[in-house]
Amino acid sequence: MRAGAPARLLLVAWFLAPLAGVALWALADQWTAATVLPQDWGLRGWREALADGLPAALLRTVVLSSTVALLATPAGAMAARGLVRVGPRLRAAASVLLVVPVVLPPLTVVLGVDVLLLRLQVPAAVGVVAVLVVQALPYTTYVMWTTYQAYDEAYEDEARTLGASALRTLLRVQLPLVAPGLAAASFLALLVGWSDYIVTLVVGGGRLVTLPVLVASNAAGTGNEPVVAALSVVAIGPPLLLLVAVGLLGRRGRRRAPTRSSVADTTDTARMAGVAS
Amino acid sequence: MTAALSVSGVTRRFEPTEPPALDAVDLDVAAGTCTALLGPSGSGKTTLLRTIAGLEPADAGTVRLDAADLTGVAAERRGMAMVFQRPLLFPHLSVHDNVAFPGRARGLARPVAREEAARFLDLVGLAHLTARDVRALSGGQQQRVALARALAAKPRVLLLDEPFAALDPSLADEMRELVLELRAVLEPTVVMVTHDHEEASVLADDVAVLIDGRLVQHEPVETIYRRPAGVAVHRLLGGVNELPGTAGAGRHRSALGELDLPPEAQGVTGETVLLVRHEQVQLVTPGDPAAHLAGAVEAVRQRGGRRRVTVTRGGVQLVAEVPVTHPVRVGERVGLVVPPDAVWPVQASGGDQPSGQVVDSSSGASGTSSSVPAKWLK
Repeated sequence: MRAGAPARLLLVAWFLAPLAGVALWALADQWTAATVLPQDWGLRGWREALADGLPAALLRTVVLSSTVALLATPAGAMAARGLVRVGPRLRAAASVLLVVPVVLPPLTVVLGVDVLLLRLQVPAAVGVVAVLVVQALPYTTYVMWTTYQAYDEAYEDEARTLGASALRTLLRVQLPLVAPGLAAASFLALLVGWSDYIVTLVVGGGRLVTLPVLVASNAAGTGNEPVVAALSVVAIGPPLLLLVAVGLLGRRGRRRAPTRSSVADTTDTARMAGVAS
Repeated sequence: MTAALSVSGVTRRFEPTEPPALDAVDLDVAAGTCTALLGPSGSGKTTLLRTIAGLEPADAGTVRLDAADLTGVAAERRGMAMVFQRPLLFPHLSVHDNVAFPGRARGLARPVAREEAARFLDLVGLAHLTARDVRALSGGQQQRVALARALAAKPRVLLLDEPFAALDPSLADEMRELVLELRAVLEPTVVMVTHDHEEASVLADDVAVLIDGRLVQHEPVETIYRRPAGVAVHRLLGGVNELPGTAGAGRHRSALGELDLPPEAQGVTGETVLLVRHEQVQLVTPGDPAAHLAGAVEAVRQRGGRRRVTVTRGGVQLVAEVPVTHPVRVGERVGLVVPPDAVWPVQASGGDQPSGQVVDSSSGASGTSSSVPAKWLK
């Protein structure tokens, strides 16, 4: 069933309205509630954001989310590769176990985990990465699970009998064939790290200032709308660009895929991105 | 490029409680020859092929190539290449790069590997498709590319796992013709899995029959049709006639009449099932002096350009395959001419592991290890 044109427009407006507000505020020096558009245009928000440590916070967010993606994607892929081979009982148990980090209220879990990490004297940054990797694993594992369900291991047998070593088979056959799934999975893992606030704040002990932490601390004050908007634009931009990139890659992958759904669908990616953030 | 393959005592058990998938299989394939592994589904054909390729471990036994023991040698170092039922062309590579894949895996530079690939594509008649996306090819073309890719690995043994089973009949015929041509040019040692005895007879020098994980018989094509080791082998080879009766003094007696046994089976006596190749049975008029057997026509079934006529008498049936123009009516009395080289006696209890019942110790037939009837006759 396809949505009619008015419904689609409404949906687009629903998504874009908050973004429009952010975009306008990012270019406003003053905007009182009574008017439709800002009274004074300017870059006050950006100046304040730079002064408040935007570049360093952005760098921390990039490093943190990349680290989470780099750890959670291969781990999820390996778990998924194993899961497609196990029996139905173990598979069912694994699916339940996998949703646990998503189902439990993050704040309660994080407070409990924080106590544990402090006792074990785990460095704050390591603790943040560890907890976020666990949070990202359900997403990467599920995406790679669907990918490997549609993946045909016979390609690897074929490659081996043609003289390719195990490493060459992995790099030249398996990885290209599951690449769209890997891209989707790592994008989701990246988002978990990129948008996290609670874990970074609690486990990081307030010392690991990432973009979401900076946005939140500024949003707590009044009259900070321009700087919050400027920071938000930087927080929204990169994932949005990546989503488009992954979407294009996924489309190419689907076109090349040997079977009808040999790669995780990018619509899945978009749907799960909504869940992750 | 070519080498002799020798499988000895290969056993493979997937489940401890189940009978083994392969049970002490011995198989020798001479360099440059083609052996077809023929058997019903689940008989272990594919498992044997995968074990030879090094894709499955063997619980016991060895695979040798010339003199070298391949136990523990990884699949990619065995000098074999395999073509599966599905083409399994790598979808992220072009036709050209698929065929260049084995060369690249050997460490050739890309231009060299591609140049070589072009030669093999030319060999399978697809030189004009090199730049294509593999998914833009038809099923037949894909399987040709798969064959070219396997040959580009310059295998000492080429393994074919029902490679034409998914193709429509005319394409499959074309592919068989191509394989025959390639065999003539490259002379590779070939082991081919098939469930189609006609395909086996077209392509192979030898047929090895696997039933329930055991190698039941391994003979040249022309021999195995004439002397199947048992009823099951006879059926796998498309045989439809099993005449129950008794043998003695070089003849076989059934309700349909008496038939001479072939010279190699003169000594057979007692309860015997006579296997008769239906293609060689001729229908004649009942009074024809050449007729060996006589009966009434029970059924006539069209079968392609031929027809199968079932003749019965005293509850025993015999099927003759005759040209479609041969006049015959149901109920009509007919005579049957059955030449001695169209018949072969096997043990009455059926089965494919004759129990070694001694029929006539003076029989001249001496056993080669793979010839079960000879063993039985000893």
